[in-house]
Amino acid sequence: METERITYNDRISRWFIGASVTWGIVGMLVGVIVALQLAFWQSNLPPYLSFGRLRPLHTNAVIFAFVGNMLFAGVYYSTQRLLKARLASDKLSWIHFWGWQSIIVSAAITLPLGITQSKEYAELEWPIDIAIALVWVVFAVNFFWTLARRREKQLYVAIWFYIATLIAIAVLHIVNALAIPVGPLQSYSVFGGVQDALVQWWYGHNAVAFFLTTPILGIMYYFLPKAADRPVFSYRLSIIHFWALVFLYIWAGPHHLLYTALPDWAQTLGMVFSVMLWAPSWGGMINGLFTLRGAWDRLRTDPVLKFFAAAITFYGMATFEGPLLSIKSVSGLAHYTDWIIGHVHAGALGWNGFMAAGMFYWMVPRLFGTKLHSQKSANTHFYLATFGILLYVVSMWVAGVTQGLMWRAQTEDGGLMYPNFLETVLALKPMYWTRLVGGTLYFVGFVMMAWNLYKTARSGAPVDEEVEVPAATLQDAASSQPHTPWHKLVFGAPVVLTLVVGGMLSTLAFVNEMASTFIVVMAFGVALLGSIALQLTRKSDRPTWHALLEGRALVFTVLTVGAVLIGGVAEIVPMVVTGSRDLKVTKNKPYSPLELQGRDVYVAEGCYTCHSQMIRPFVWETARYGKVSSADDSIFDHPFQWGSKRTGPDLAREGGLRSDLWHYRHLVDPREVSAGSIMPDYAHLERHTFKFSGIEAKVRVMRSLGVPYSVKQVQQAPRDAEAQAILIATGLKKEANVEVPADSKMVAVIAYLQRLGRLPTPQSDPGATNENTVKEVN
Amino acid sequence: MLGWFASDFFAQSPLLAFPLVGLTIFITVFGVITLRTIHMGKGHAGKARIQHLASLPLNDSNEEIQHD
Repeated sequence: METERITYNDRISRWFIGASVTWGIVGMLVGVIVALQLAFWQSNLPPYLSFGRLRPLHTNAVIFAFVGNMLFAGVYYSTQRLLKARLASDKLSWIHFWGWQSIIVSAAITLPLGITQSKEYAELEWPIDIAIALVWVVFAVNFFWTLARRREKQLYVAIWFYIATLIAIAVLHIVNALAIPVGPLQSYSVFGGVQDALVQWWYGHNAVAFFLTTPILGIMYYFLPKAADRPVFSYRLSIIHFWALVFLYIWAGPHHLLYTALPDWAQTLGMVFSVMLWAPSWGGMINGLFTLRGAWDRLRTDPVLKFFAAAITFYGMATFEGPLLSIKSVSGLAHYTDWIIGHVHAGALGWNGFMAAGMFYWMVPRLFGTKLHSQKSANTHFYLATFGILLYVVSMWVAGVTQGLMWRAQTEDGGLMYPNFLETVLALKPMYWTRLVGGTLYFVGFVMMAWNLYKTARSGAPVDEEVEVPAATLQDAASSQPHTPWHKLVFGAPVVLTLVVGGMLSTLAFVNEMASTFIVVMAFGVALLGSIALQLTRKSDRPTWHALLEGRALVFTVLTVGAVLIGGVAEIVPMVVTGSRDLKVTKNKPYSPLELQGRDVYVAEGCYTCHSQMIRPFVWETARYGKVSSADDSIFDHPFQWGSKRTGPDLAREGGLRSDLWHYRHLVDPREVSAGSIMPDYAHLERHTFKFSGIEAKVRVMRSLGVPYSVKQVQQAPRDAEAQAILIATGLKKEANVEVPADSKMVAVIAYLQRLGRLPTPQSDPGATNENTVKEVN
Repeated sequence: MLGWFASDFFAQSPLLAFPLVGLTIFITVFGVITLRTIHMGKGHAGKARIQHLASLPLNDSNEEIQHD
């Protein structure tokens, strides 16, 4: 066979590693700071460096900057070697690198400034969202172009996971980021209320799935065999792992919304698919751990294997805990508590962080043609980080269970045992300090790794590996080889069987219980008999359907797109369709222009990071917060503000419970009215003003999204807002001689808070003629 | 003991049988497909192909750095 010598583009991997380590330090440092802010409220430095603004910066930095750059390094390094081809375009690689770093810098600037969409892990505003989509397309073009120029026909399992990542993240990001701009740095989501909640958590959960899991699994399947110097335990098991994971994961998003106003059918789907996810996830974990068979003794000395083995163990633990938390009764206790924070960090620090460390310790010496500077330091890093994670996770488990139990604790006569929410916050303080210690240990270990990698790089010189590969690409060789038509793969027997069973199960949505039972049994029988028939009719001298598929990148990608899209379409389309119908029958009223302005302030300050707006159907919740939240309550919320954590109390029915003056005092100094509160102060809202004239554009955009404002209301929005603001400012002056500018953000946010959970009062709706009474939203 | 557990469990609602049936079906189908996949490519050609694929990460470079 004729061969040629090629040089891999390893320079791009070196740069991505450098960026990952640098941003990792930044992201984890911000994590330590926000942990400190929860334990010691005085460390908030409003307005730019308070918890509500820094928490999104922390999550974005560690997910997209640290893990993002890490996965790009790993994907580019392994893809070239598995396909035996240099990256298709160096230019695209550099556009990808610098484009991604520019996005991260934009995030680091805009989030502390309060420029946010408030959708978790998707906070960045629309110009940055467009940039993300473009850079992702560049990445995809470079990857698939390289795939087309490969010299290795069969696609290794790591490449499958990369394909799924590329496809799924593009779909998730584009759908969830759909928004109408209000200005150059503000937009409103096209989805509202319950629809927005579903789309957001479909995205949020699958950002975990397809950004933090599938590419890292691909990296595991490539780097673990290399580090252990033995092939993957079961290549066949990886086939199950891949298809089951990409198909099941996408359905699981609604488990973030159990017991909320999301329809029951969607909640049940989310829960059931989450429980099913446990099986393929553990299949992957077993495959990973068993790959180390015969190499366990090397764990004592080899830090790379130590990190990989621990990472896979954390993956197994997190993917057991995730389905557990998705069971409704467990979610009832754990949701909104610190247990979820502990779960997330077991995955992020244990799985992602340790996989990154193992990969860096393996790659950097090779990329610089030298040896690791200090094995001892790497081992110390491992023990520090492991102890740090354990402190972190255990403290959050204790905090979460404590919180959940205190919220629901009742006295003998049926009242709340801890009616003051602050009691439940103060009980957690020791755990917040413990978490801070754990997080700091992990951070120190990470800095040690950065130093070790830097010294390693300095001791060597950059090396771009050269290898002998077959001279002809697959395109060149294609004409001389027998070719299976694409339709025989896309409509192969396994796909047809899957579609038939899936189609039968889809009819469950339309039939009664008796028919459902019959259909389920039938589907089960078809699946079982079909599988047996496939096995019996297979000819042993011919390659299997999957073997053929592994050699066809385009067909493989098409089927992956199908597997990824089914779940999203099945859940989101019905919700979007019913959304427009709900708008026609709603009894709710749109926000007044000033309330809308106040809502923007609430969003910008990141209030949703600590306060939910969703009262679940539990006695202890209704006793504390009021009537159960309905989908109608948030129907005009673009984006929704249900939140995911209660460091502070739920605010869904805050309106009218307290006076404007109380809110003013609370925002200026929370401890003046709530002794022991850990909330940062928001005194700057009194000084920061807005322009009434700017509100018209906001109301107009809301109208274009289907919120029933009349043309007249749009035109009068600035005047109506000013009138309502003057009423509030005058009221404060009368009540306590407090001088607050009517055009201050303080007045606007008070207007918004007083509206939560009730229909407009005549004061907030100058055009209204109703009686001057407070009405609850039905 | 099991009888008491079952009667207590289903006393809440007979519909609680559905998730159990669903879980059983899932585990059965998942198990069958897993077994089928594990047994696929058992012939000589299939074995060689699987070995080739599984070894791809190990046969892709020239050098090997030794740790201390």
